[in-house]
Amino acid sequence: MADNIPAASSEVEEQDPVVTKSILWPVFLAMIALSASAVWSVWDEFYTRRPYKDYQNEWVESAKKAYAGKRDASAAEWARVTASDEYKTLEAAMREADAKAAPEVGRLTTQLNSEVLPRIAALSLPVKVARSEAAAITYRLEHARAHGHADEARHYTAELAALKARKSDVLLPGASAPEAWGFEQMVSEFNRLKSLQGDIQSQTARVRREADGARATFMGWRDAHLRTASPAAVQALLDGLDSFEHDIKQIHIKVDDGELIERCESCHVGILSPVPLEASELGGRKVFTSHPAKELLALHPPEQFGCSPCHGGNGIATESVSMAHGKNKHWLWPMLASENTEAGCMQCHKNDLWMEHASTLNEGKRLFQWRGCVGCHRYEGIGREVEELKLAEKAVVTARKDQAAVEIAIAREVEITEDSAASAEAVDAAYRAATRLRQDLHLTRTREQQLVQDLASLDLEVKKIGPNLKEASSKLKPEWLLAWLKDPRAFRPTTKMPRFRIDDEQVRDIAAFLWQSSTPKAIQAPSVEGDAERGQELVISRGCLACHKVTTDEFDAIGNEFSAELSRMGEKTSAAYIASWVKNPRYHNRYTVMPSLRLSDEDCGNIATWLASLKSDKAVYLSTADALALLTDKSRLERGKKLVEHLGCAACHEIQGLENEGRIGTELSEEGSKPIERLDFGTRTKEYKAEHTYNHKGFFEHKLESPSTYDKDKEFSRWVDRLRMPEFFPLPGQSGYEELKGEIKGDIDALTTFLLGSTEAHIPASLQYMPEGAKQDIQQGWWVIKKYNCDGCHQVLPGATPVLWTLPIYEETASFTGVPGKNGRPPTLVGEGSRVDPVWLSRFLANPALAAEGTAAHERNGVRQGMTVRMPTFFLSERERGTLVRFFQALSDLSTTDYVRPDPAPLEGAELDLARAAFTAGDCANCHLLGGEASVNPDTTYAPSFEVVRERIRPGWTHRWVTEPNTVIPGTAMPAILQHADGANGVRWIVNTAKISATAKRRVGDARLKQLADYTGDHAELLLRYFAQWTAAESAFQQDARNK
Amino acid sequence: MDWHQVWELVSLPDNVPIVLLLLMVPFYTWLAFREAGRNDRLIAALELDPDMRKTHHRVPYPWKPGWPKTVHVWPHLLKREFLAAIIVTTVMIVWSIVLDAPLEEPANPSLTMNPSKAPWYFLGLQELLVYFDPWIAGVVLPSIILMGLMAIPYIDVNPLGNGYYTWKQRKFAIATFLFGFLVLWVLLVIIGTFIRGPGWLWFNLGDTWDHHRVDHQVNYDLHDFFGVTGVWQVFFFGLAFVGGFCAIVGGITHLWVVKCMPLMRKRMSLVQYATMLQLWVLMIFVVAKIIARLAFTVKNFWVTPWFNV
Repeated sequence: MADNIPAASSEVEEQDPVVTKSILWPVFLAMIALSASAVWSVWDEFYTRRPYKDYQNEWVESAKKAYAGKRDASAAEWARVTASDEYKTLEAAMREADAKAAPEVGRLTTQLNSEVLPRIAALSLPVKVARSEAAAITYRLEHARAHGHADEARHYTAELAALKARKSDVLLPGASAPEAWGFEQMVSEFNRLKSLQGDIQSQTARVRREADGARATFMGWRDAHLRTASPAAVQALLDGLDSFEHDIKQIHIKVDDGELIERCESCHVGILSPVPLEASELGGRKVFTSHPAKELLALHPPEQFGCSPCHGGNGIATESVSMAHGKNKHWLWPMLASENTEAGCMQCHKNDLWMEHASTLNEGKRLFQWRGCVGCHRYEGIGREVEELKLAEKAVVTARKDQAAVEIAIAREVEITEDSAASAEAVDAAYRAATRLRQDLHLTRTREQQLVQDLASLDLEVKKIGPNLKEASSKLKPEWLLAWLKDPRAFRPTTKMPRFRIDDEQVRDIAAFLWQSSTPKAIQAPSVEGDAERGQELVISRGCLACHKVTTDEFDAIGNEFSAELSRMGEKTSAAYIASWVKNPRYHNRYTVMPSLRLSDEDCGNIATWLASLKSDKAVYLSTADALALLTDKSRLERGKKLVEHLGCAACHEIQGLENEGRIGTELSEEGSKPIERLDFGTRTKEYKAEHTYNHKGFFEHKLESPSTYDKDKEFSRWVDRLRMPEFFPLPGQSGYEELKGEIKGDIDALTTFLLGSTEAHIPASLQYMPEGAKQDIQQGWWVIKKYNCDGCHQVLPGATPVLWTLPIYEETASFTGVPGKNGRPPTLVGEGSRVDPVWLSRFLANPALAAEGTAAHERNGVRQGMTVRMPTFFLSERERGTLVRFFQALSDLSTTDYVRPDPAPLEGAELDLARAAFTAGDCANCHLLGGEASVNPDTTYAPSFEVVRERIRPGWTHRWVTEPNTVIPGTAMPAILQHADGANGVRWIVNTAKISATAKRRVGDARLKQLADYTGDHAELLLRYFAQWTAAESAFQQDARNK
Repeated sequence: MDWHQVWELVSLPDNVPIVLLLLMVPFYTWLAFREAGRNDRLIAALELDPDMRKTHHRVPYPWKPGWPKTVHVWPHLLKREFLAAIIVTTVMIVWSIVLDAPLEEPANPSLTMNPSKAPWYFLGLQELLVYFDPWIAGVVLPSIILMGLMAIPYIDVNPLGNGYYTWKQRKFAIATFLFGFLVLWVLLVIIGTFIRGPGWLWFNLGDTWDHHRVDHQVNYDLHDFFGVTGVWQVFFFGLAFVGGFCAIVGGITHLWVVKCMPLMRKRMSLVQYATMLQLWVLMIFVVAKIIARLAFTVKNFWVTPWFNV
């Protein structure tokens, strides 16, 4: 190759540039670029992709200011509290107790520190060494014995003996030279010292008991009065900021097979701050605020549950805000918008109808049932009675078929035994077979009976939200029906019935079908002509307004929206029908939740007269004759039926011929996790993508706002191809929209939250809420409570305000005449579980009149006969009654199984007299009923009757109630007539003579009062025993005594 | 014109290589032809000078007498390759910083994405699925392409044009390559990337990719145009058409080669020549099928109970 190398010849002045040309500069520049890109990659990795570092720097700055402010505020607060007399007193008491205990504590501590602990320390090492050596030899010895190595066993026995005989050096404190101790000596001394140490410690605790008590009292008081963290604690937080570590703040949870990694705290550094921080204190930076729902967080500690299982988002991402919040494309669980945050609760609490911290979601679930969504859309766990009923019906049919088959088989065998058997053995075999089959038959029959019972129960549980249309022609006014179907909200703005997108002809077809398919139902109208004024009074006072709304003479649309507004009933139906309906709603509609109010025929007439008189003078209808002509037009029947089927009317109504219609809508149980591609945005995809509402939230919101939105710009060859979902809210531009805008938005948010939460569970099973026992009882109870609107009348949870309580007549300061006021409210059910006997409660729920059907007493109120408002008779199934009983027990932390009603010793002779005296002295009959009264003045006598106490009330509760009523129901009208006294057998309760009224004193008589004062027993106990043996005779006795 | 849609397509990290392809392939093709043209002119000028013959393959620094005719790989070639490596590395680093890997959601067995696209370098093959049976487009054709590429060194009998740009010396080879690469590969990749939307429907660039778009397109088999029915009739009709097509294209090509490139024909053995001719005809056939489908709504030329072509 040498000839290829250019010769340095002078002939060629110019060298080949390919060989000589330097590429130094291009290489240099490329190297610079390469180095720069390498530097850039490092920068990108450490800064660009770790934006939390900036956040953390900023946090340290703003948190310093915020905490400093908090510390000063806290210091001021503490100064104020510590300056108070009570604080000083308690602190002094604590110090005094400390000082009192100090000498003895000091002596014990000195003893411990000087005599015991140093010796233990000196002995512990040699003892440890010797013991461990002994343990090792013992193991080998046992091992050798177990394997039958006698020689080895002997060897180890000898070794163990040698060890025990060996002396070890022990250098005791104070000694100048080590002493030689044997094994036993060391161990026994060591054990002695250890037990001495325990003794001294427990002695110290005994000596300090009083001081510790005082300290606890002091601290308890301080904590109760100081809501802020101590200045020192805040200062500690502030100091902690100086050594703040800038790195990824991570929660790592190992659950089930997987793990959960949450790095949200890397930017939301203050989210778990023990001192609440608000954006305004942090220079407006919302990112650093502390979690707003502290209580909720305490129930769901992030170190156990993480963040993203509730909030959505991508807990592991730290690269950018949108990535961490899961707002990037392809992340399936984006962070929930603030108005839908509670959708996250559904991950675990799908079966909870009611949750304390999730008002939006509660509302969503309520609306889903209340507006009848579940009628068209199947939803796992909601409205399951319908499916259970269908299953049970099928099972009964199967069971009956089975029976028939078995009966045929038996007949065949019997035939063999009687006629055609070839041999005696064959007869025998056939006989045995028949017997076996009869046993089978018996089992099948039992199963069938059980199923039939279940069916009866389910039959009571299945409800439909709309009225029964099988009786349309005997109930409705024809002209009203036409107007109603056209636009239900025009007649009743608060109605549950949605507006369907149908034209006038279709309205007529539907109405004609409903009219002609319905079968006349006899009106059980007792008396229709009644007193409208009395009727109005009854509607207001009997409790109708706990569910219904009505415009009365005095008030515009008062009451509840749980059921239909009654304000224009006269336009809809006749007085006769109303009377018949009020008398027995279940006769007219077996799927109604409306209970029977046990009204007399006369009262039914009064109510009907008043309701039928309620009409709007502005309403314009067709003439009845014209309307009737349209409704009876036979040619419309078929078209009407098709429309009714197509629109799914049977979802809410009972309609002739459509009893077994299935649900027409999409199942929504997991709609929130349906792939977005499967949500049909129709032609609006592009538009909504541009609006950033091409997502689940947007789909639900648009759909609820305007259910036909995805039909826009579409061409339909058939009317039925259009979207069917009716309009549940007025559309923008329609009448009523502007006034209700806010409410509509709230409802849509609530429903959207509910639907967004309806996903397949993507969080580990071990984190999910699967309650058992009492918690499950509570969970199940809410379904019944909400189904029958129990909380429309009763306070179920502390602090709740039932609708009925808010009516003017039940106001605290109600001053109308004949108005029940606060004491006439339906009773609170807070603590009901601890108050009443479970067996009695179940019986009461079945028959709140506590009287036999058909008796005159049937119309009365069972417990509080004086009250105008009534506990109506609900058509509850046995299962529902049980659920309610367990619900109340569980709310009161009581289990259902452990309650046995105690049987106290009966009162006799002098004791009975004393009990009666105590009763009279307390003037109990002033407010309470005695029982068996013919008539009651509701203004004065509103408290429960004594006749039911025996079976109704748990004695433990009665004791608390008669002694300290205010602790049971704060603010109750029940006076505390007993007071505390020291008796021979400890503390007891006696009648407080100062509280006995003059009348009562006169009734009891001085002699008896003296005897009562001398009685050494517990007066509360006396009263309890007295109530436990209360009979009708006793009522009569007390009545007489009162009349005297 | 939906500019948003265009931007979405162009900016998708998946599609960035194809955008680059779109710019760089024409550029380098142009560059190659420019260099080839200059070289060819130089060759024509210097070929007459016996001293300068075979030394004229570089335009920038034409060879001068006294210079060595070859140079060492190290350092003269490797240092240039080193420079290229640095530049490419830099580009890759910047690319990796600026564009993240296009991750999508976890696979859902019950939901197929729409459009469902292969990696960009396979989109040409995927596009072929529109025109051929899956096993022909997915197995037979790629295998033939691979085997054909492997066969090139054994078919290529032209000793000229190694290591420098030229057009005049390798007209047939370059034309065939450009046809096969630009039309059958790059163009199909670009169609697959930018043109095929949801449902693998044809969306012109700038049309919105609408999942609900409904298209009217009825394709007929060739025999339908001629009213041929019956399995065997159809079979033989197709056989005759395809056979005839191949024979005609092969014949024309043969005449062309014999007339215009006699030297090439002379240098090749019969096996080499037959192989070359077969591959050539096949390539033309694939393009003909694509054109027939797109322009004349012809679904298949040859329908048999076992396969369709």
